[in-house]
Amino acid sequence: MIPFIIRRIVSLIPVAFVVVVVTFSLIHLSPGNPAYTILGEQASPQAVHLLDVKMGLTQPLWQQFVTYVSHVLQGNLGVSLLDGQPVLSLILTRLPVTLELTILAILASLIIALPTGILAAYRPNTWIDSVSRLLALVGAAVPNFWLALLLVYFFAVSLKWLPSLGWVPLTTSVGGNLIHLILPVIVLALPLAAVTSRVLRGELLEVMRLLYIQVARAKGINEWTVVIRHGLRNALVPVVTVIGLQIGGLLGGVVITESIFSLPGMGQLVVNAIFDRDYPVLDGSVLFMAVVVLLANLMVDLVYAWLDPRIRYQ
Amino acid sequence: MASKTIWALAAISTLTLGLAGCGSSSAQSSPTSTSSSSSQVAQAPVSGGTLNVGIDSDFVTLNPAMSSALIDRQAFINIFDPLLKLSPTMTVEPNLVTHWTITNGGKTYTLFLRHGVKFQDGTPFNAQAVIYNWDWEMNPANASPRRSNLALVQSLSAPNPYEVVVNLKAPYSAFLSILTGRTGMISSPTAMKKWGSAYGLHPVGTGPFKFVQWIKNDHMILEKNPLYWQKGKPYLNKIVYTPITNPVQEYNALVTGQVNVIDSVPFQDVSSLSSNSSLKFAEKPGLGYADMELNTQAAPFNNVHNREAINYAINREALNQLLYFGHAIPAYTQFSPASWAYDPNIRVPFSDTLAKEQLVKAGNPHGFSFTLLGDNNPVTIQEMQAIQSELAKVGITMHIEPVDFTTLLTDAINGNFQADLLGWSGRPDPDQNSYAFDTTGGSFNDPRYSNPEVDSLLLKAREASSQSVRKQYYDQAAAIVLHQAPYIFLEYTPVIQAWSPSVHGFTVYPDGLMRFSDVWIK
Repeated sequence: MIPFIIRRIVSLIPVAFVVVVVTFSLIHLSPGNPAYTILGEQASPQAVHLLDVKMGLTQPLWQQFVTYVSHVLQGNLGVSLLDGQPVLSLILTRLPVTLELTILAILASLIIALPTGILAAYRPNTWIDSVSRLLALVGAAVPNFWLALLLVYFFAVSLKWLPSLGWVPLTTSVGGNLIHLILPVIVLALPLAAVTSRVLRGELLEVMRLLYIQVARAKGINEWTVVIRHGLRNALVPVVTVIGLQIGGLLGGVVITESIFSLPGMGQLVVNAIFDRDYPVLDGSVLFMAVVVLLANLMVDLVYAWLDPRIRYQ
Repeated sequence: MASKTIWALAAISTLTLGLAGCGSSSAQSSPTSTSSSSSQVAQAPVSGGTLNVGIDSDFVTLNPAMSSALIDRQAFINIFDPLLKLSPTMTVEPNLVTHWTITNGGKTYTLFLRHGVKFQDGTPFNAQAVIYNWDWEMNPANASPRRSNLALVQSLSAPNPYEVVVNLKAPYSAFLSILTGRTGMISSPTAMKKWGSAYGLHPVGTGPFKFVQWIKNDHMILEKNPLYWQKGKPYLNKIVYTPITNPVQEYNALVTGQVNVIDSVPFQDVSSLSSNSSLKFAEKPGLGYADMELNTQAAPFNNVHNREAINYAINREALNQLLYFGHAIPAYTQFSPASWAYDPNIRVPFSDTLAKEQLVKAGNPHGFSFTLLGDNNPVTIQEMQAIQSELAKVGITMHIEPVDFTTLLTDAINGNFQADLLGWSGRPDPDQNSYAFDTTGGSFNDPRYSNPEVDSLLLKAREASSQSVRKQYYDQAAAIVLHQAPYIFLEYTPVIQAWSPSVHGFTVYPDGLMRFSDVWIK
């Protein structure tokens, strides 16, 4: 297992390098210049040139790339072109928001998906299954920005139960933190739960037909024990795969959700960096998020082995 | 950046306009925790409390010498007390400069500074500080956007600690007005030297509130400045700014009481506000406008008749109803109704017949086609589509090319466009809204327009000292620019701000800046 983990972590390096090359090229080749963002309408060509020189943007692109990569290798992600803040500290102040949002969304999706998926599989083609299928369809089809505004309308504006935006750090107030995250977490969790629930239902139905389940039943084991302890454990492997695959998509959804709920996470950082052409911030954030996704997938692989001991890594 | 920025940020919510309608009707019917105080009589201000302010985007930098975004000015106006201030009717009034003299044919300004004013870090505010700031801004190596405001400065001197003498290369009647903006917001030289390029994260001014904390995309906190020169002010202990980029969400935040004041209200919600006694609001003509820029150096707009045809073919009132729910005012010049240079008589009629006549004169009786660049957001795209259908009626085919804002600005400044859709937040003095836009080689002259007569009129207006004489020059120049149409002015955008009734002493200004030194909460 340990050599496998080491091999996987080493294999992150070329992937991360490709991410850096692609991000760097795309943002630098796209039209626009951060000097125009900073100088606004008052940008005369002379002022733009002076600022370009000051920001090191007049050097050839390959030279800027070499400088950037050599800095990254030394652990230096650079500073924001707009306000001079170190990119790493910008990321680290935002990362907890996005991580907490993502983790809670996955947990919430499991809380929804496990019972609905299991019940639907346990009673296939009954009203329970139909309701679960309908919920899953709606969950997967509703765009999350629309769902977000709908939830805000009901729970914040009409009922005034929950705040519609903002963020309280966990260290300041646990209750305040959680209450601000309820709506964004639901927005992110519902589509995820919809897919997970359907995958779980299908897989569980498949597993429940297998011989070892029939053996377990023949031994007179309680039906729920058969479903949960014998069936579910094996049905979870594809579910974990789906969650792993959805982490990338989830981070995409976080961008929109963070904007709507004004949460100071990575999503907002990336979006603003794109609009402002803040190259170092964008390069650094994308690299960081790519590494997070890669590590999450590594964890998914490890969870496989835990769920199904027959899976071995060479 | 100004109105463009507002547009870009307002845009995110357009797909949700339907829902926004729901939101507004709910605001009307649902009670809020605050009680109406519309019939209140004058009350004595109460000290203390925190004011939560919703703003439509996050700040870019807190260094006035490096800022170009309108949103930054929301913070600056409370952290920095400008040398001169604007009244709610946009007239220039004394502030840190108590009085001034203009001599040498309008070329020498002597500014007399208020005594006993301190920066928030305890260092004295004086003539040396003013000169230090301006020298820094004029130094090309610092690439300050303020440099163009000080381009006419020939020399600066301080005969004594409370007197600044500014010698200009030519008379410049808008100079005092410039001192009400970021150029007049003086930073503590000690703090500038201490923080260097990171000063934009640690601003120190002489204003009523001092900077405490800024977590980007989350909030910014200001606290009462105990050293403020106006004794007893400000009344508030603390201001917390929260950027809320979705206008519907920003409005919801006010309705739900999460913020006490918001800097803009979605146009579709204004009618519900006026019937909602649990919220207060004010609507004023703003200084800004939206316009199309036509590149006069490239076909088809190197032909003045093609440009003029567009002037006649656009039904500005219909655009106003469609996009602004009737809250904007059709625009024909760079001077909005909030400006003393506004003249409602300078206008062109909406007429397809006149548009077609111009097309015949241009040699294109069946019209022509061109591409309009615009910011890639739903609101702007909707406006572009509306213009497209107006122009199609006279045979002009307009292709729409949405690009992101930085690209739009880059292309506009570099002349890499046929037409683009932009706007200008406006400034209090008409010179700041016309000279750099309309004169040959002007720094904001994206259309590359050149007309010696306009150059001469705007120069005379800039050098004249009497407002009535200036007005005559501006009227003449505006009439020429309107008919030569390097810009197609579309509408003047209003400033609409709303607050909860617990907020007192708040005044809406045409420049949209929310000044909190007189505000108190009860």
